[in-house]
Amino acid sequence: MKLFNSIQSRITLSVWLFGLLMIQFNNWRNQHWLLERQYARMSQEAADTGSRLAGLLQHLTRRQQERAAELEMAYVSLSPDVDMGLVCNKEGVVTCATRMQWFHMNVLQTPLAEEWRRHAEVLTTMKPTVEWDTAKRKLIVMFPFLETYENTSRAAVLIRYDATMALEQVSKDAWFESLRQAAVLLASCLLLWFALDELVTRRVHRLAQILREAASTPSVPGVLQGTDELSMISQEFAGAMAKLRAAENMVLEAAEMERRKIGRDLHDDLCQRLSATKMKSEVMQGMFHASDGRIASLAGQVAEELAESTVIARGMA
Amino acid sequence: MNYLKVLLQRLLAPFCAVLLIVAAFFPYQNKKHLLRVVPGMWPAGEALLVARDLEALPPKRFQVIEIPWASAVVRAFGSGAADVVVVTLDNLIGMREAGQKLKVLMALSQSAGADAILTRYGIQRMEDLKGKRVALERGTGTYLLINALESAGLTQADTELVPMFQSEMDQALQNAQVDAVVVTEPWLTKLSKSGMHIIYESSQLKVPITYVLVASERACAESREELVSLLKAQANMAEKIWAGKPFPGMEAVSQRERVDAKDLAACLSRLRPLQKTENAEVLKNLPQMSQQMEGQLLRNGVIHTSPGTDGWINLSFSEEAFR
Repeated sequence: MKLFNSIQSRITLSVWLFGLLMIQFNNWRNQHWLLERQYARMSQEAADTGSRLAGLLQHLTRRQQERAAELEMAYVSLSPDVDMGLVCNKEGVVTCATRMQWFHMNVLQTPLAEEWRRHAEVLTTMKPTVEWDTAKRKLIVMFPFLETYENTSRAAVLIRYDATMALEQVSKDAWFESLRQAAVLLASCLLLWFALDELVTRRVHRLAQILREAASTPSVPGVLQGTDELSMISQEFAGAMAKLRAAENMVLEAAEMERRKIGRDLHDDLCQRLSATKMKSEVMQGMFHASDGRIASLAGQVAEELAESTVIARGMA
Repeated sequence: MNYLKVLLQRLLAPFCAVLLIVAAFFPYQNKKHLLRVVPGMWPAGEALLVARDLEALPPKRFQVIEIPWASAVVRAFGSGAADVVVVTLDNLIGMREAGQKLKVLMALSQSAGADAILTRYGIQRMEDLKGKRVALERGTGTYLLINALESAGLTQADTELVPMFQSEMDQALQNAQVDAVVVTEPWLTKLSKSGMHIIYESSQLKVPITYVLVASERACAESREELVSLLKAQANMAEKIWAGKPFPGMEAVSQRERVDAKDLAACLSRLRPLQKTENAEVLKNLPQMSQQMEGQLLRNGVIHTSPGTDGWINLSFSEEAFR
């Protein structure tokens, strides 16, 4: 957790998290868009194929070209999205299919029975239908045509498309794109982390070291190289420290001068006076000693105290 | 040493970043598609269709497509619409001559009477075909016809070739629009029942008509696992189909080939399936067989250049499948 206390890590992490959020949003939007496009593409392709095949089969069956019709059906099944398909007349007899074993079978015996039943009205209305199932995985297309020149000779092409793989592929593509974006984002964050480390963190550490040295040594602190903000701070700090050091020296010098002046005054004036008074007290002690012993003793005490004061004053000077 | 360690730690982040960027812009090859198999609508391809019907080839990995004409099968492979096809060795020579990038993975079966030349009564020998109209479907039967004509000292120029689908041949022969037809199973069985006369058949060939399973080079590179499964399924189903007794999916085969159970048995008996053990041996002999065929096809102008000899057979798939 200590790692995330640094500004460098916090900036990098914030950018990374924001980027991931954007990628996730883009993935959702991209998948939605790609799926819609896939549905539209398949619906269009199914409608085109159904329409083309119905027209072609009408032509081929009228000329009794069943084998050519089979080939057309086979070409339709080459599409990876086509699950199965058949051509069936209104009596329910399969005349052509993507699986040859259904030939001449009843449509209700084939796997497309349910779809045929559900869209049987196409043979009545003669209007084509293109419809997705509720799960939007299977697409049913049914196009009617006339087998002969009689209006009653109705038949229809029924094709079932399976979109599962195509849609899975779309989803995979979108996720791969997001993964690619996430890798680029991570790489960018690593580069950002590296740049912050080189340009900020390491220089801040150097600046902190300069400050620590300035506090512990009297010399003028070093300066960070460069022209950025941290260098400016470092230069300003070094300037301020230089001015501080100069002011300090001036104060010290003034105090020293004052001390010397007081010392000189003590030595030259007060000490001389005290010495003279002491000597005079000693003379007075000699004079009083002959006349009155008690006054002589008192004068001796004054002389001793003056001697002690002179010693103290000399010590201060 | 310590300095180097510090330097490495310092450069770790940009190094990882560069690796990530390179990985992110690496080409995306996750386009997984179904292996598209076109066995063709002949008995030799039935094993794969039965495997599809019985879901031995899962629809999530394989798309088995039924294309009724041999020439359309070859075209589908050439256009890239099919990844795997079942073709005859003479078809294969044409595909190689066209420069298609392919590999033969397995030899499936050999025609032992499944291809023949049928005539109306009155034409008893190959020699009698001189100046006659012979119906032939594009993509099948050319090799048989060349051999049959050569055996009688004739060439294609001695006959009038009429391109026709096999489904139309019965009618054309009945109506005397042609004098002979070159057919393959199941049409051979159907036409034989109409009272037509066989004057030449594939068991007379020096180099037999061999059905091979061919895959595109791209499929070999991208779908090895699927191809190995395909070969296994093919071999397993072929064993069941040619076991000489009813097999699962037989009804569907009869309906596809549009013959009853008895005729289906007759059709299948005219094909000699190659066992797993025979496969490797036939594949090894295939270049030699192909060379002999190429000579004939070149002489008769069916192909114009001899295709290259290198690297069109890949034994590793069948070795892996039948290990």
